[in-house]
Amino acid sequence: MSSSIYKTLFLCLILPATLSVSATDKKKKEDVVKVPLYQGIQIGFDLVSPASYLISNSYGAGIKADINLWNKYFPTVEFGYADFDKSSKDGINCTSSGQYFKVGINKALSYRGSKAEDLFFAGIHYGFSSFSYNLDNLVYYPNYWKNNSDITSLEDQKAITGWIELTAGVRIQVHGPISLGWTAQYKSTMHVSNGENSIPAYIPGYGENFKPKLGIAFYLYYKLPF
Amino acid sequence: MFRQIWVLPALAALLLTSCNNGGCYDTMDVKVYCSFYSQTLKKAVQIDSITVWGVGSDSLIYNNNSVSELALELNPKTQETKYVVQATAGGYLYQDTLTLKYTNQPWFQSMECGCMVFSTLESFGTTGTIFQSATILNPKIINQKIKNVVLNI
Repeated sequence: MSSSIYKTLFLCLILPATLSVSATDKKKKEDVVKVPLYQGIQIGFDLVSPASYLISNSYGAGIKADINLWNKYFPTVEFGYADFDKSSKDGINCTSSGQYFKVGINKALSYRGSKAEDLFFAGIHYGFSSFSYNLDNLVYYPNYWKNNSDITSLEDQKAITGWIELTAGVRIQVHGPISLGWTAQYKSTMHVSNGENSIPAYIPGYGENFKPKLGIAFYLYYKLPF
Repeated sequence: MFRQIWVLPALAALLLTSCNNGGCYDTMDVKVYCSFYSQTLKKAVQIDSITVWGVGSDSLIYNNNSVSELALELNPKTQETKYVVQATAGGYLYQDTLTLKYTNQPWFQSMECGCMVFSTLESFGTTGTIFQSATILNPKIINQKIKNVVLNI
């Protein structure tokens, strides 16, 4: 067991280094063979959002595409839908649904394969979402007049938000055109237009509305055959 | 090899989940802040030994305090709140009643903090015993400490 853990940690730490060495070798070869501009398109499917329905009332779906340019730059677009149904420990219930859109670029930090089949990358993305939400079972914060027994609801609140994401991740070819990968995200909202009577608690594509926020996403990728 | 690479984000995901700490860090106090202005001295003043309570409530907000401003909470169930102000000067007891009229707007802050009520002051009346008049500087009563009203002595 200890051997397995050791191997795991070793591989996690050594991966970027080995890819980097591989990239250095590759770079030497690239001095001779210039990498063409277009190297293919990968379609990524969000694995976590649909699966989250198994453990909560919230779910979603996301799909993204990136174009490989010179094995160096990967312009990316992502569309998705999210539906939140969350309750606080005090019983406040928030249901929210809407679409989100992200656009950005990843830069290969190191890669392996003639078309960067295995990739270690970092990037920057802008996310945008327009959505509506309902808040139920709201209890007023108590004050001198002791009105905390009143319960109210706020329906059909609408908000528009934009955020920035700094990302780093790995994509590994599993078999043929199929790859798997993860992306670590550092997110921060840039602008939030609040609802008429509220600050949105959850933002599709972003998650709980606080900043900065860390996240991680897992993707299944399919490389288009052209 | 692939399986091992996935251990790192799985550990990170676990860490992120465990680091999510709930809690309300926002100010939830929604009060009308009233300062005092002496028309004789032409400057802001402090009132010694002031006692304040809400009409219809049995608890005191200020009890013989020395203050340079009042922070008054509005009743979110109604559109009018009255406060009685008592002050002692030269051995005499003076009493004034402040009448605040306003409109309410519920405001949801966050899942951790919950909901509060913001208000817009429509009028601020005095009975003229201690305070000759009131000037509304900022009618928006929200969860920020802003000078809303000046009470003229």
